[in-house]
Amino acid sequence: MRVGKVIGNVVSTMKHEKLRGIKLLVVKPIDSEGNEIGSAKIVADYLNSAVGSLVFWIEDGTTICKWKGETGIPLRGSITGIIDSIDMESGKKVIEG
Amino acid sequence: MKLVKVIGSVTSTIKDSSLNGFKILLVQCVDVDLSGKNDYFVAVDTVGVGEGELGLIATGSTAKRTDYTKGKNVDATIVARVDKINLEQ
Repeated sequence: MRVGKVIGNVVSTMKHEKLRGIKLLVVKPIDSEGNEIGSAKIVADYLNSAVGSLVFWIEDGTTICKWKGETGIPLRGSITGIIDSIDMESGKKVIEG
Repeated sequence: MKLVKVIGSVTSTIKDSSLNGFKILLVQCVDVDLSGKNDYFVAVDTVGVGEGELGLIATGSTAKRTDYTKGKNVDATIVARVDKINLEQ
């Protein structure tokens, strides 16, 4: 899974019918200092994550299919955890969610 | 597989129910000279790797191939602790 911050959400009216009812969020990976790195990604969310939350997401397509009980949803990436905190080894720094 | 260093442990109350009970760690990919790369994963630990130690992670669907992670929603699993790397100069 990848770690990052939720930086926004996506509104889409015209979409594949299997994407209906799936909340889509924009996430941006972070490094160990909490700085944003790399490019943003759009992932599904079924845990009710809020914008600004620290989360981790899985980069596969089967997780959302299992949650919806369907197959063949054209989507890759789902948030699978909202992070409360990360206890860092280096200097015992803690990143708070 | 990727060579990684464990740099932190993740606490998460709200998570996918299939992840309950797992030790979830923040790991950083490292080169063979142990210099850190700008590439981070949140991985499930199946072997008992401590913070600061080196390990190997299996990513993608391969991450579901251990007894612990079979059928679980994971795509990064720590599958080995690395004691030593011998490099031919």
